[in-house]
Amino acid sequence: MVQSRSGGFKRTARALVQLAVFLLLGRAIAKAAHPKLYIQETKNVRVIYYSPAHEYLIPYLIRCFENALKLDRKIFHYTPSEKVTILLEDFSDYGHGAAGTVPFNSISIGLEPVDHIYETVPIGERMSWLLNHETIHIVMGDNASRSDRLARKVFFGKVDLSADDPVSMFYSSLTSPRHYAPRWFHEGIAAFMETWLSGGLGRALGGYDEMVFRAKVRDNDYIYSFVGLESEGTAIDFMVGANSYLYGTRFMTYLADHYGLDKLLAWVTRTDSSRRYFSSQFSRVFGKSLKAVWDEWIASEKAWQEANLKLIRKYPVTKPRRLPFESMGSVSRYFYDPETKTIYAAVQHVGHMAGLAAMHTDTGRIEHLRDVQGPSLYYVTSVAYDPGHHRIYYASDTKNWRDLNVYDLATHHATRLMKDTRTGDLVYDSTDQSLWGVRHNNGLCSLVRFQPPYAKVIPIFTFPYGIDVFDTDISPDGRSLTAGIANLSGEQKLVRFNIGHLLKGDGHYEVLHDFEYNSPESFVYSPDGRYLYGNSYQTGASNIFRYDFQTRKMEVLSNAETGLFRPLPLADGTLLALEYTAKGFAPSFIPTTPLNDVSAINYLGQDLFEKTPELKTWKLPPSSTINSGKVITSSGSYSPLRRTRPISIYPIVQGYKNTAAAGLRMDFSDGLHVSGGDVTASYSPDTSLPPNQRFHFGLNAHLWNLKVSSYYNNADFYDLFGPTKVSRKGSALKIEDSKNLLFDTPRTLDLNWSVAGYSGLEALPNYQNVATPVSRFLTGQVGLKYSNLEQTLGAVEDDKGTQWQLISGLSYAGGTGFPQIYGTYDRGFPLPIHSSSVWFRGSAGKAFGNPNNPFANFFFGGFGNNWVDHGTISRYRDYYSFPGVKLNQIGATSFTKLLAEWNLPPVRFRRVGSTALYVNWARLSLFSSGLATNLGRSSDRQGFGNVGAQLDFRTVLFTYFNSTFSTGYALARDNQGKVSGEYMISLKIL
Amino acid sequence: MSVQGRNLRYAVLIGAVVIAGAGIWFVSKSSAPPSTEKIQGAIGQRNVERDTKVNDADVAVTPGEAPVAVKEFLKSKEFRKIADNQSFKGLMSNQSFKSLLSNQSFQGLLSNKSFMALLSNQSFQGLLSNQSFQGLLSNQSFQSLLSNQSFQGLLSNRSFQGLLSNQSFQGLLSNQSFQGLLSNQSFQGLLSNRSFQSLLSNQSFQGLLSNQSFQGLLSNQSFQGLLSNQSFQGLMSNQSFKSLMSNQSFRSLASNQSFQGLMSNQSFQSLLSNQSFQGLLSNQSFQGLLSNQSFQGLLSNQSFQGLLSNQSFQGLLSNQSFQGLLSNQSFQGLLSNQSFQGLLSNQSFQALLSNQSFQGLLSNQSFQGLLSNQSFQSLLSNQSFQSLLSMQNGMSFMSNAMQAGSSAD
Repeated sequence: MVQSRSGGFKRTARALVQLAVFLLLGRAIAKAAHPKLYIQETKNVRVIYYSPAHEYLIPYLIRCFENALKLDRKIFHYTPSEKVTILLEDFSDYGHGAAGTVPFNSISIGLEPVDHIYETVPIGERMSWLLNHETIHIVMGDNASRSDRLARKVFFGKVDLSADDPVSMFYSSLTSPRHYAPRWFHEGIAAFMETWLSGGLGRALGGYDEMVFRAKVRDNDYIYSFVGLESEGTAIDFMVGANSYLYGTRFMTYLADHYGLDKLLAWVTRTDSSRRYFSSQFSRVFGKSLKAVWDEWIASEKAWQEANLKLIRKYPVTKPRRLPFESMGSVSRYFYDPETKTIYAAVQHVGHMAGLAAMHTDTGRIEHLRDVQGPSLYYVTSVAYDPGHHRIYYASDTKNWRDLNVYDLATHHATRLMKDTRTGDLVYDSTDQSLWGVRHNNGLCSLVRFQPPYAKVIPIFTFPYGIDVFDTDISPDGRSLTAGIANLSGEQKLVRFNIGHLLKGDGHYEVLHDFEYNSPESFVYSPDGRYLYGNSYQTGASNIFRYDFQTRKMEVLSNAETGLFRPLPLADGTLLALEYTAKGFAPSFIPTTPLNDVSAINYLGQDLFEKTPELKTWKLPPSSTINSGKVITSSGSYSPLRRTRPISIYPIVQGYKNTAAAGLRMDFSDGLHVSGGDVTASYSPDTSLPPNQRFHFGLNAHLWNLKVSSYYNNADFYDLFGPTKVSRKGSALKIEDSKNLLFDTPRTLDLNWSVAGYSGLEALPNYQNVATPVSRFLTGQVGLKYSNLEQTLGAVEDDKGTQWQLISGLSYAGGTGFPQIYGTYDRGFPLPIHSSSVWFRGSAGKAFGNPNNPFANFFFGGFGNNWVDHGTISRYRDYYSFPGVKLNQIGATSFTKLLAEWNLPPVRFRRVGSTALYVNWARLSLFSSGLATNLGRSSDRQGFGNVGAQLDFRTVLFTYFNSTFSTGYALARDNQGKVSGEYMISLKIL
Repeated sequence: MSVQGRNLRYAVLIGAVVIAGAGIWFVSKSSAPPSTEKIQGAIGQRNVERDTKVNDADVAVTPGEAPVAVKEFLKSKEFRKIADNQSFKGLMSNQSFKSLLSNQSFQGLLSNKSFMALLSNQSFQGLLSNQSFQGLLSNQSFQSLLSNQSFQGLLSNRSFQGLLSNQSFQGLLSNQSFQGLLSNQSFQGLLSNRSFQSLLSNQSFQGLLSNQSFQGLLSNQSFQGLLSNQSFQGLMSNQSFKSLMSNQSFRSLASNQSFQGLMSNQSFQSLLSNQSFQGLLSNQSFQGLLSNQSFQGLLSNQSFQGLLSNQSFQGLLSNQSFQGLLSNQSFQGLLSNQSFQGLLSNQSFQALLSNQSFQGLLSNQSFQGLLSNQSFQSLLSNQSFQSLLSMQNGMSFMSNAMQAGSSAD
């Protein structure tokens, strides 16, 4: 069809106006959704925050950072390569920290009180403690030798990993070699240093750490090698990633204890003469391989723990009488119903969804009542029990802002009572049906109350900064509330509040017992109100204690080999408690007779401290020695766009059609990655290409969620390999944005939209084998995407949930619009077999317009994985994939497709490889799908079916570079009886 | 693809692989690859180093302090628009207002874009310049209300912002008595109630709030007590009652000074707080009666108000069966009849109405049927008959006769 020039102009003008409207709309959305950011800077650090309510902590945070940095410089001969960017945030109800050095030095600090359950982390002043830990990560990753500095100069900074250009792995390891050490290395040295910089407040002197290895020795449990720890230990144990901290801290302490502090520092400190790779430097410093010394440590650890067990066994040991349950993994506060002989608790174990459970003590049956979304690692969630109405109140979303829920044991119905209460340590007062709890907000700890119908948080008393209240309980008469309370120094007391006074705003309390630097945990009233039962590490091992209100004395009731926690006195005078075992917590009965003799045990960290006086000198001076008023050089608003700068430039290779190209890539970003992107430019010297296709350009930029991407003769690294091609002749400009309509993790609903213009293309942007009938066209897309996926502890991917999307698109080509709409719906179910699941994935779509026009069609075919790839590994799940036939082979104006998939349990490898390269897991998936096309046109209607399998091996290179080797085969058959097969082999990089 | 092109591609590929391989070797070279007191008894105390003393002075934080954010707020476009106002400058130098600015929750509000938009509203700026309102802003209790997240949500509500920009409502906000109400914690609780907030966002109700006479009522301490009553707050949040509050006719009643007097009457307030009577108020038919001008005249009658304040009569009003009668359109017609209203205003007849025995009769469905009977109503409207009813003897006769009739049924 011949188009008039004026008509073409009008259409172009209209398209431009539409594009401008989209742009303005996008800009408006982008502007509306973003918080205002603030910044305060010193010579060494820039602290960014988004809430004025958090600002009161900034000067103190800066003092803590400068204080820690001062000593880090001295100990590690460290000169920062750049300022550190710290984000102070309040995304979670518990304090936390994270740090990174690639591509720039950054720390994230969650400002709430930390979760110190079971003394897994120490209680004390958290800002200095967190920064003492996180600055060590900065030192380890940023400290540079001469050659590192040279590489950083050559590449204009520290190169970040980019899956788009995997050569970045090489450059990144040149600019930041020590960044590429295992997690146990980084967390081990940081937890070791945090302890001594904080005067003993850290995990090198942690009661929980000591207990974990004592339990392993007592229970003859496997202690991982340094490779097995990464490949299996941090995935199948109930403590998962926490094992990196536990093993790492222990190993560092052992090295300093047996080989001396100097050798440990010589190993971890990057100097001009040190070796790049952490294990190479280890061999050089210690004269032995890492494996040899790790094995030495395991032998020494066993001897150390045997000695501690001998100390404990010096006096009669408490023998818990186990209930008929296996070790439960993590267990919450629990309650006993004598009528049904049932324990109610929240539990979490490897391979199972975390949830509320009814544990029938007479039969040993464990009934899963209800999933708990967003469980916490060690205690699952906070739980309160209303025995009168047979209801369980519990918090969910414990890793973010906690919600309050109720589960009715009679109806088995759960209801969310209130979102984002930020409240835990729940306790139910039977006398007035109120719920009490501890709320964390803006860095402060408050006692709060809920009255029926529990739809409003009533603040009762807010404590000053640094006062942490935990493990609340209410007396049977409803008059008193007891809790553990900790101050800035980490001193802790068991205290009692008068509820009547609290309700009048009087927060004074009575100290029942001063536990000094030990935590008074889980103290609960006996049914008659005479005693409080709880546990503490006062003797070094966690034992059960009892406070008698009549005699006002504290008695010890146990001499535990490993540790006893969460005592629960029953009405018949018996006492339940959780015994720590190598597999988790085991509910047991224990005797209630007070003991007179319990030995203290020794801590490995203390053994080191007593041998090494230098550690005493590492204790940081008070942060008040730094004058924040003097060190802060500027403050004000933070503009991500104005702070955006180039962060690295490096050479790349790319594929364009069947040729290779060489060029450069530049990454740019602000300090928070709020604004940033990359630019690539490359040239194909191959003379077989027309001159106008030899130059390639690509741009990706984003500001918050708004993204702009563009290319000219798009080239891609992965086009160098295999049949899948994304390189395209021509140019494109795409703008896209997304907005969270629902963000209630794991439930999310996003609205996404994009507009794109293409010019000079030969093949469709999404279908490499389909030629475009016109060279210029516009596309637009609006979509909703919902996701509610969960995975069991230790799973390799999600094994339960729902996700769906509904996408509506419009292509405007050759003066005609081609609307299309499609949707997908996935539903997965976990099987009783550990980490195995079945999924059903349905999709359907319809395109409008001339069926002979490619724009009015969907195309299907192939696994979709390239030989070397960076997309998702299980590409057969995508709606456009159809293994067994060629890529884009099946065209259709409408379709419906259903895929059934069974993911078998992964096999994990404990000893395959070294730190430089090891195999993590292997997993087999079986699938079958059916596809019906052109549903509305009986003459063109077709049907296809296939069956296939895919085997994936996850490998890890230099502990950071995750790669997956996949191989698969599928057979397809159409309704004419034609059978075809496809073999797939692929290596996914990063 | 040409042979030359293919060679070049392989050369680049091989080169990349060699460089990557060399890199891996370089990084891992010489890495030896791993071959495959108060406690009873002799209870020990763990011995661990704890040199962790931290003094408050070492930390020295003051939650709520945000000088940088405040400074940035003061530099913002929205603020600059109002900063030139002389009166507002006075507010800025007010110590109490300064403390509001450093309140952490209020600072959170400053980050709220919708609130910033309100600040740039000229009319609201005028309010900020009002000295009396500035006094309110300096009031600590009101500041705590401003710090309430739910109330902040209300402040961000555009419709409510419209109300805030309404000059008449601003006048109310400047009223010291109303400010006292705003400072009342219980009323603040009501303001934080989402349902009440939706009422506040209702344009019709806002119209009522803008009515000077109703504002007078709001300024009445006794009525404020009623507003602070949790049960009445529940009623205010009731969807049906909200629609009544939004009813033009009822608004005119609410603006009636005499009715306001009734609303200020503590006894009547206790009636309003009565859940059963609230149910009646939520009854659409009864609301129709309340909107009836003639009945409103009766409600404004001080003598009838006395009757309404009578606890025994209130019990009758709370009686569901009698409420059914009140909702009966025919009976409502009788109630709207001026002559019958005269009878209702008659103290002697009121005594009859307050008589429990007679109330039992009024609650009797059969007698209610009679009351709904137009002929009987005309008899009741007959002045001679009324004078008979007003007589002490006639009253007891009526009561006894009717009860006997009732028993016979």
